[in-house]
Amino acid sequence: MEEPNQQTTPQLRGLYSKVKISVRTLNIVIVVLIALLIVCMAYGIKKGGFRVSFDTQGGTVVESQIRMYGELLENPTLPTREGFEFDGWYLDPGGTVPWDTDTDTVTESMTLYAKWKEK
Amino acid sequence: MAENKIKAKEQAFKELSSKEKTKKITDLLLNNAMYIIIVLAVIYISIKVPAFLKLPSIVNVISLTAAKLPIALGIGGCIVLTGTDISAGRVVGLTACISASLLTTTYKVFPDMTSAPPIIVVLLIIIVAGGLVGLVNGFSVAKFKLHPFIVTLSTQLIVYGIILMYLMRGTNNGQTLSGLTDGYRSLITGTLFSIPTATGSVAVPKYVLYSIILVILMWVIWNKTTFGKNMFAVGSNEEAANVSGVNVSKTIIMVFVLAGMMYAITGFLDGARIASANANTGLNYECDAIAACVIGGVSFVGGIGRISGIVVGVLLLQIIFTGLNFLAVDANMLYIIKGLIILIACAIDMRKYLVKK
Repeated sequence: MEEPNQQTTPQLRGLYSKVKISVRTLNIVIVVLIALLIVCMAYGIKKGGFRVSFDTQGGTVVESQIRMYGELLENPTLPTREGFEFDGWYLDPGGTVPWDTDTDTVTESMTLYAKWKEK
Repeated sequence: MAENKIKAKEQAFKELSSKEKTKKITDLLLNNAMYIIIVLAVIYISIKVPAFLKLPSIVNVISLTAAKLPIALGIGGCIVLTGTDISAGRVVGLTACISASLLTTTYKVFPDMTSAPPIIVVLLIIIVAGGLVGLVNGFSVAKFKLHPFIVTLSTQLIVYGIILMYLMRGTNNGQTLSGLTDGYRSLITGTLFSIPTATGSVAVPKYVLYSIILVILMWVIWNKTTFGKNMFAVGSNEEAANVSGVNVSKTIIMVFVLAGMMYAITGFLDGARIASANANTGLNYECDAIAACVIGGVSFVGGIGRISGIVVGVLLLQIIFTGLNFLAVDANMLYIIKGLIILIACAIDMRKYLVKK
């Protein structure tokens, strides 16, 4: 007789076997956590925007930009460097994946790296 | 007389039911709180950013869900055993690195290589590699009776060390592996079919199909095989399963080996999907997978869970994070949100069984 009984009303077992909390307390915990989640989401949305920073790799400093999803970059002021010519922005420091400021849209926070060629 | 009695009973039932009703409503609201939040968030996001509900975005969500499904299917089994597996992400990283190092056109890790081996050989190698890590996990859990948290924490570190050493091999010097062969890339990310839209067409990648096949395979394993039934029996009550003749150790080891193979397939898909692999590939994947499983009703109480639940869990989590990305929520904040979601999902999961008790 015991076995079917166990199947219909599962006892607290597994990771919860030592849980000692009343349903009422747990309800409060859940509501508080949900409120916290909503606050975090609201804060995140309000402060929304991806930070695009520029690593000029030895050139003059370029200010970072905050862009929304799917937006183009505002044309950044081009950096200068003694003895070198600016050769575009790249997604990697090695300069293999180019970033076209006219067509590529922002989808995450990122850093763009300047590429230089010798004059 | 009899009618009066029935009326009195009805009255009592009504009074009781109004009380019960509020209790039922609270139960309903709290037990489904996660789904309610996600639905509300989706409504809000689609009002703010209409592109979120457009076809390209929907296909994007489905593809990303497909990419993250195999790892969740693997971890689901470990959670059914009341355990977990935090080595999953690193196994994904290791297998992605192995795939990317072999199926390449640059031969940085193995400078002596002159051509890439057949894809099927590489797939077998990484499945064996993933299975081996799973074997170590499963053996330690089953035979040493260590908690899976501790076991998989140690294998996580060991696998990470192996990845770093592997990437230092040859002339690679720890750098990101890229330059994958066209055959490998097109096998995974090639177009399965494309849906025409007003402004061109949206391609559905092939790995969506592979994920569907894996879901069907895992559904059969969980529901139609003796191994699957044993897994649920061990998860709900190890002693009872042992008494009724289930080989508990063998079942635990097999669940972890199967999970390891699933991570390996995730790594194989991920290498081609991202078109590169490095030491950070797969980082924190296990957090997403565990969260998805718990949201999908795979309970830490043990012995409870369904494949359909896992699919829904992964999909919901992907929807909310794609949506937050559309609202340009900072990645740092996403970590906090993810953590809170796991905590809430566990609390709700616990509540369901507290109430039943």
